[in-house]
Amino acid sequence: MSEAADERSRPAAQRGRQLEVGETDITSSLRTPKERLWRIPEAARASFAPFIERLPALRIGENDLTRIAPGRPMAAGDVIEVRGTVRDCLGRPLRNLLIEMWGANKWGRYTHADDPAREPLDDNFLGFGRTVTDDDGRYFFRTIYPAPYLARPDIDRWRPSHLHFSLVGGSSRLVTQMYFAGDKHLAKDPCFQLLGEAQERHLITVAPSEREGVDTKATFDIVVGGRSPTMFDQS
Amino acid sequence: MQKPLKPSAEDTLGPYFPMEFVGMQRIDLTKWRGLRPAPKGDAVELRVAILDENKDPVVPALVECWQADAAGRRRTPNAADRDSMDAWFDGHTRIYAADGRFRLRTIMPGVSGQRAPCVTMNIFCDGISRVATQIFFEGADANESDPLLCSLPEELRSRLIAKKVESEPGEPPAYALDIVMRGDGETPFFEDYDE
Repeated sequence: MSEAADERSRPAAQRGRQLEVGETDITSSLRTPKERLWRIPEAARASFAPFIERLPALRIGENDLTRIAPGRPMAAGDVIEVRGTVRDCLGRPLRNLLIEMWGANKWGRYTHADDPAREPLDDNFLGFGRTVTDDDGRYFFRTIYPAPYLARPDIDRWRPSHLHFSLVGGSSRLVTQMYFAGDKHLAKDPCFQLLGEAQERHLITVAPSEREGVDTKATFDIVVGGRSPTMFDQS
Repeated sequence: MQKPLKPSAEDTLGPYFPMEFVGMQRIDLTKWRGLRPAPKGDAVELRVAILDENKDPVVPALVECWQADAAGRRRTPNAADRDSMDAWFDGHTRIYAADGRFRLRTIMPGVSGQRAPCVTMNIFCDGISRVATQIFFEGADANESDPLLCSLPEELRSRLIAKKVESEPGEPPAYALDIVMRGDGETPFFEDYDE
């Protein structure tokens, strides 16, 4: 018997995760691997931590989604400010990460060409923005409170209000979602339910903002897990 | 020492990732953004299709590729000879494959120690969170002793090796691979997260 055959007969605990099928739609059941993930031999581990040193140059105001550009009219809806700190599992701030954020508009529609929703578009809202974390790992966005939307009209399933976050920079990589505490659609949302014990880390609690023109504020701290973020750390 | 923080959960890209984030995507790494200088090495074309369980293309797919230069060096902060690396090759690109397929023109990655030429791919789409794998090239001698390939059962190794296919006269050699997300012929994906 070869070494590799031994590897396959190892108990599941010595393989990686078994990815779970989400019941959001049929794509998940057709795209989620049946096999557990395979462990990476140490000799190959660093090659699985892509190191990104060049980030796109951002324009002023890309982290303010409430206006398409400075001087343009305001988007419709409640203005919310979301800020937070990005850290690794050891609590160290991750600086110079590009954060891409996207979400639905006041009526629960994305500007994406593939969104079949009948809710109105807002000419003053694109629904996506970018920023880069500062030296302390902090980020800030101003956007419109995204409405829940009927994702599956066939079975009357709603998606709760949420924002998508994608983080990339150095050898960090994370795509995640942020939800609003108290949303009545959370209990039946397969994406949120799949989070399991992680649910509370993805819920934000909004508070009234004292800033003029801003309705609410919230904090969403993000932790990029695993060994990759610090794979090439020289400190 | 501080108690380790619990990580944020990885999640699906969802169906509405703004392709504007990708902008002018780089599908030809043999040129440096339209400038005259070019990376060293031999050009190759990698033709990849991302397929679901029914062998239908996964649409849209976002694929992030990372590879070594022709000398087998990946651009990282602690690369020993970083200053002498190929200045015109960063080995990274991000492709928004609207139809689940893409062709990447790049440099044949060099052998690095025991590691055979390969391209790391992070794949994102709706319905599943990020999955990672590596694509190798048919005919590379180093495939036989690559530690990642050798860690897999023998019958699965070919699923990571792109096959040489015909290319147009005068065009670089082409290699093709279907990445199958699930089911028959499922591509091996790797655990780079849980440590």
